[in-house]
Amino acid sequence: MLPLLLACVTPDPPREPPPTLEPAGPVLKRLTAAQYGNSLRDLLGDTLVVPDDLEPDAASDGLLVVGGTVNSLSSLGVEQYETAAFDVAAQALGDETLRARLIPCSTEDDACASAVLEALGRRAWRRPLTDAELGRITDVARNASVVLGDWDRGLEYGVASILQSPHFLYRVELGEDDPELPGEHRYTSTDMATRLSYFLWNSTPDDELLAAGEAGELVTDAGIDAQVDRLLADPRARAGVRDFFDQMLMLYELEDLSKDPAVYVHTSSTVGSSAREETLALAEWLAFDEDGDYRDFYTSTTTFIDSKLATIYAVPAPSLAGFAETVLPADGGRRGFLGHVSFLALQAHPTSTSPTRRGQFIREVLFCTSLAAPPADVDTSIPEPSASYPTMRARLQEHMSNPECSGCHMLTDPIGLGFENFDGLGGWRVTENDNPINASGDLDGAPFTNAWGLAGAVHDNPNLGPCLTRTMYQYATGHAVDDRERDLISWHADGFASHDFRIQWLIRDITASSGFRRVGAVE
Amino acid sequence: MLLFLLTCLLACLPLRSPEPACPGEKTAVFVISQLTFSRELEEGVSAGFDLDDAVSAAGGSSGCGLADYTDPDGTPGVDNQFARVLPVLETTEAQALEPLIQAAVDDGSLLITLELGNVDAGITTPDSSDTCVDFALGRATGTPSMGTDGAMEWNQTLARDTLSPRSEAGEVAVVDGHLEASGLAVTLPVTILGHELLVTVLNGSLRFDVQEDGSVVGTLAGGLDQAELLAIAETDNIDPEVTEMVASLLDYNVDLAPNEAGTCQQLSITLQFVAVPVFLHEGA
Repeated sequence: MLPLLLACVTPDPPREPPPTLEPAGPVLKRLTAAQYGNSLRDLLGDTLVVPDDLEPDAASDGLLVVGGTVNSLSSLGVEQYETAAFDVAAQALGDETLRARLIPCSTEDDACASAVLEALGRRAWRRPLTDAELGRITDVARNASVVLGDWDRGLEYGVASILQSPHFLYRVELGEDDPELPGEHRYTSTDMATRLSYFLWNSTPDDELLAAGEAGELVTDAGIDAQVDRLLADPRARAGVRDFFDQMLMLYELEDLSKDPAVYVHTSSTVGSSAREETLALAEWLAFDEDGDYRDFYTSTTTFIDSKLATIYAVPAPSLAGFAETVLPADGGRRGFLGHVSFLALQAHPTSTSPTRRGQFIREVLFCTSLAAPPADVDTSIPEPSASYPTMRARLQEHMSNPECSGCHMLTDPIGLGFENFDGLGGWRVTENDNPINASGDLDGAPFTNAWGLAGAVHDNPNLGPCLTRTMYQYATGHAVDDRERDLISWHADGFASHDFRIQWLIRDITASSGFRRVGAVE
Repeated sequence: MLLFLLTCLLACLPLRSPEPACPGEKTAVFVISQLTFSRELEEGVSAGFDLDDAVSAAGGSSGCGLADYTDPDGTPGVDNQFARVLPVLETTEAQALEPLIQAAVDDGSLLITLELGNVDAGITTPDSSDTCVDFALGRATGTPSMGTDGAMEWNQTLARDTLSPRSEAGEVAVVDGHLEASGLAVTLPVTILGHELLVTVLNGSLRFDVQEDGSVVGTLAGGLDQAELLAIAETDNIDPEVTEMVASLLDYNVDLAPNEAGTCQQLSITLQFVAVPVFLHEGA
């Protein structure tokens, strides 16, 4: 008992100070579709129907949030935001419950309109409105109400003005001179409220976080730590972790999953959504319910499935309605995320598996290894199945006989072939065209005989933890990292490893990072 | 009764031991996904079972004087008088009987489960063998999900129908993927056209073979109760002429379960089925 107690009170071992950072300059970040929807619901009410006819997100450096900093908005996209703003404003004023939440006063006059717009503007723009800004928006509402002869209709115009403003649609975090470190810059306290909220909740700050920002508390360690504790304890933090994994693993693409129904009889219009939910539920469970080791994401036999996925996995459904937790059989060959339909079906073709895509995903997304695209003039096709090449392994081996192809395929295919016991939808199989499947291989010196063993090799691969650190750092900061941040990210990765790869620990560590709090000068 | 007890004693004695006879821990469940009538393949030949332990000849003393069929494998004594009735029925409004049965399977109102308990290592291939499993027929509820090929999806999870009777055949063996369950005495309610038929399965009335793909193909035989069939035929929505024809057909073709007066009261029927592996959810 004594050793246990000592273990509990033993402080963390001293940590080397972080390397110095030359921070990147500020960038405008357009809200992702998920952030846009979450923010509107938090601002106006959960029952709000968020318009989805918006310009789609596009990833950059593997993340939608980074894409939001580099992709420009088309003129159609601007019009869509305008239409959506009026749609939302009409709901907010037209629905009795939403209206009561938005309008605390009982008099329909300029003073009430101004109060409503000031409060909404502060939450939506994540900072207090200046007098001039409030005056302009209130004028819009007043003039519209006169023209339309209706106070509510006028207020709709004021609300829509706030919601189509770049101050709402973009995160404007420009920073300030650091008074304690002359010549350097940091994010302002209100900037930090926004950064914390979108990192941890994937949504707009609540009143308490905004107040802490406005009170200047979020430029101190104590102030930030207190809010991080609060935010992580809130259910919205689960949505934040889900969004991170959704982006990192590109699970949102599952909504458009398309498989040939003549080849995969289990496919359906909903299987992609189900697969996405399974993986997100596992990530949420591991991060929050278990506060567990990130590497177990790849080896856990615990999962969360509905009856459709249970059918594909050939296991009993834990519930006949919706999702429920279950434990996959130890002799079933399937474990962890790499045994999920989400990975196996998405990283495959509509009519077949794709060891190359599966291997490439592990290299690039899980290990953060850059692979060159195939040269433009190279034939990337592989032989059709035949008596000479009855299995995918045989077909790829023939393809790799081309020296122009073998360089990259050697990095991907031996890994991807480890999943050949799973068809292109994720169902189990032991033969391909009546030939037994050989799923053995080697991952960076770690041999495996099948996908179960490969999952263990991925779990133990030294690139796994640093890559998650890099991706989460990038997600939190919202910009594509460059070489100047490499040492700092390595330092965080070392800390992550020494803290048992606990996801919540890494989240906290990044919120304390100079890379999260400091900013370069406006260029 | 004395003969029955003696037979049972002889049959069961070698199985008795202090250890559980079927020590396996796994289960294997199949649900019937296709159900068709066993028809007369050629004159006097039809697949089925000898349900009454008698090889009956036309005008003979057993089987109420109706001739039995011979199984395609040459086994005589097959009781399947429904194969003689079916062509006549199919000239009437009952011509869609088989599609209706399949529709009942597909919509979940007729989900018959073949449940194997205490299995050692799984019953999944034609060479699967297990010297001792517990076998039962049961029912499941719910709407089965269909694959893109229109067939019932394998390995789906269905809810156990706890309200329907379950018939336990006891311990049987699976030899090279082949199972025969003898001694079954079960009444399976089958709802067709909104009417409940009672298919009484008598001894030795089910067998199946595991296929290469893991499904099972088999035969289920039993007796249709004459009184039940007449009751259905006399309902308002059936043409009185059909009712009269059915009554006549039954009078001439019932061949099982003779009463004290020697009058048979059941019509032998044989169904052929394909069943696919599923799981049963025990909850509500």
